[in-house]
Amino acid sequence: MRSAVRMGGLALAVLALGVRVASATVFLARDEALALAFPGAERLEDRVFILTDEQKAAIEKLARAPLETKLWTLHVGWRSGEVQGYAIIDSHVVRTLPETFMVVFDPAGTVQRVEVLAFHEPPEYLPPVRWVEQFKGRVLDDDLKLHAGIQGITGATISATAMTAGVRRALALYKVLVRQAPLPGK
Amino acid sequence: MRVITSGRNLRRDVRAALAIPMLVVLLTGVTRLAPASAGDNSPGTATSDQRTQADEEKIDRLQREVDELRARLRALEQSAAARPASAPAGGAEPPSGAAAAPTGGAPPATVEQERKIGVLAEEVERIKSQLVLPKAKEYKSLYGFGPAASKVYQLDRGLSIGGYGEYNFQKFVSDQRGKRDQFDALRFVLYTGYKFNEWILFNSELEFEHAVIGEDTITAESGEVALEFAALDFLLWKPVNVRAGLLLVPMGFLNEIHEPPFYYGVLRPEVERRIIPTTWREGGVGIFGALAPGLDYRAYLMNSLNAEGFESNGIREARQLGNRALADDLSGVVRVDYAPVPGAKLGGSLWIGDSGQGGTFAGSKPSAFTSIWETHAQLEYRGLWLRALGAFVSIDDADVLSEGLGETIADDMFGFYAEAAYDLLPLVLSDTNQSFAPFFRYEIADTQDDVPNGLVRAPGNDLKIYQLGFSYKPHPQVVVKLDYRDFQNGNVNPKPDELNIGAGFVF
Repeated sequence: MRSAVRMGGLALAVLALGVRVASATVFLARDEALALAFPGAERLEDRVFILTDEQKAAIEKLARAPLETKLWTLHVGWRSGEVQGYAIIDSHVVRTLPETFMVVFDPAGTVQRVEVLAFHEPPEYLPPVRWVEQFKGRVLDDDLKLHAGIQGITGATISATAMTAGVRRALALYKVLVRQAPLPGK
Repeated sequence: MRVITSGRNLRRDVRAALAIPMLVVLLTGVTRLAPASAGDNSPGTATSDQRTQADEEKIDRLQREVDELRARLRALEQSAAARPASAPAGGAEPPSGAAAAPTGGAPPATVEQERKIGVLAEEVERIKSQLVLPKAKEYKSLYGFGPAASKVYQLDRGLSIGGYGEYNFQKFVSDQRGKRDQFDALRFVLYTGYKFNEWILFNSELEFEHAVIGEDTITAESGEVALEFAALDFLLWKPVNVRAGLLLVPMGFLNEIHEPPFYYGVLRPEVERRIIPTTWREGGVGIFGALAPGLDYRAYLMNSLNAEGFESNGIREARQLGNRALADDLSGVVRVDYAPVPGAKLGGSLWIGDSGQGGTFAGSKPSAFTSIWETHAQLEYRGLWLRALGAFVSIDDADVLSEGLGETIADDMFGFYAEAAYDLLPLVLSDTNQSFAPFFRYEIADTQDDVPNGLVRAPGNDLKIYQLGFSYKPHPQVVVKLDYRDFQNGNVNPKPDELNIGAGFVF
């Protein structure tokens, strides 16, 4: 009887462990991510952009990466009547399944943080947190690329390449859509 | 009369144009959310995939429609502006891009249309991000064991496919001794993974070697199909997860990560073929995880090697590869890696186990206790790549095994290599994503490092290799390689030098 109780306890403990990590592939939902991006924000604003062909081309040139969509949402955090920062949530396919991550940057276009929000491939293809932390403090320049300012990684190359491109894309979107004068519309 | 009503006509046209996609958006949202709010346990995969595909198609269609609408709206605005009586003054072109923002001074109709387009765009964006990312997590307690993530937002698609391949051309340059140049479609590999739920995954690697399977060609034996690994992962807790099945032995650099773009040289280093018999896989079960940031480990219990396969030139043939492997003797392997900063990694592994498997050698049944250890270090900094690995094999009862097998089985085997590479392309083109990296590698491998008393070393097994070449990557997942390997292994049984040209990819 005692051993049965013990076995039952063990089974429940294992179940509890399983339950604890049941959210392993979605690390942060959208609202949680934005709360993390803009701590203490009084107001969140979503600015939706539908790009013109010219804007798309200008962003792709700056990002050195293709844009798969012309529809983008820039999340803006407001505090004390001023813009606290910006965030862009981006998705891409790793092997077959998608990864979603968030790039947070300040009004000067300096990366504050990059967070992986969801990762649906096996975890060995996910770059470790310490690798992702390399993006902090980066701006959109020649050094923001793999094997330059961002060190390479063995084993999660596809994801690392896509994330580096994603950070460049987010900063390029911001530069073209917000910081530069609007391009002439068609 | 026509002039007076044209503003109304404009609004009606736009309303009509907006009504259909709005309806589609709402329907899409409803169909997407309906099973989710029911908290279902993931319906059949085929249905889920179809639904996901249908969602994606709807999004594409919606986006096209939004673009179309925008174009149409502009055309309508222009035609309205061309009619002076219908257009209020100050109807400026809205700033491009800012679709959601109402335009100051624009006609009310334009403001309303822009608002509606903004709403549509937000809806499309919302549905698009919902495919992979929920807006908010919902928690519910299960049997009092703390919060459980709701399955509402579980991704329906579970199947993941990847792969890699490599081809090479070898030209033998000196000491050919009858060896002829050759082309080889060396490997094509498919990875198939399936996610049963959020914490149980299956991952596998199915390999085709040498292109033709099942029949000999004029000069070569049949290639082979092999299951390189097939493992079930149970993701329990970051420091402790469980893995079971046909597992890659976690030793060295290449046994686990051997896709061509991720190592230098057309062919794998000899140390990671002869001393660590890559690709080495056996059946087993074990745990793995991260004990601290940058500190990873793996610890498996597996079936052991079979000493009947030991040879004077290494232990490759002793691998059992999951094919009805003898498991009288088991082995244990532990690996630890530490990454102090991104780009740097150092670690080591130790494998131990009896390899006798109950077999008879020269009239006795030796345990043939075998141990293999290796240490490795790697540094990537900007364009620089440095890698080094040392490995050591120790075999007990080597004298009995040698007598039984009729060749000298070493007590000890040893190997080491160090390599350096540098990506030159960024020095020339600052904005390139391609790379061109020359490399140099020095290797020593001796499978007859120390032999039992009274036995003679089998000649030709003390290798020294100087290797020079480059890798060119036009894309991070595609590589073209060229290298020259100068083999030095004595005059009795010399290996020919090689010029190797290869191409490989991973996806």
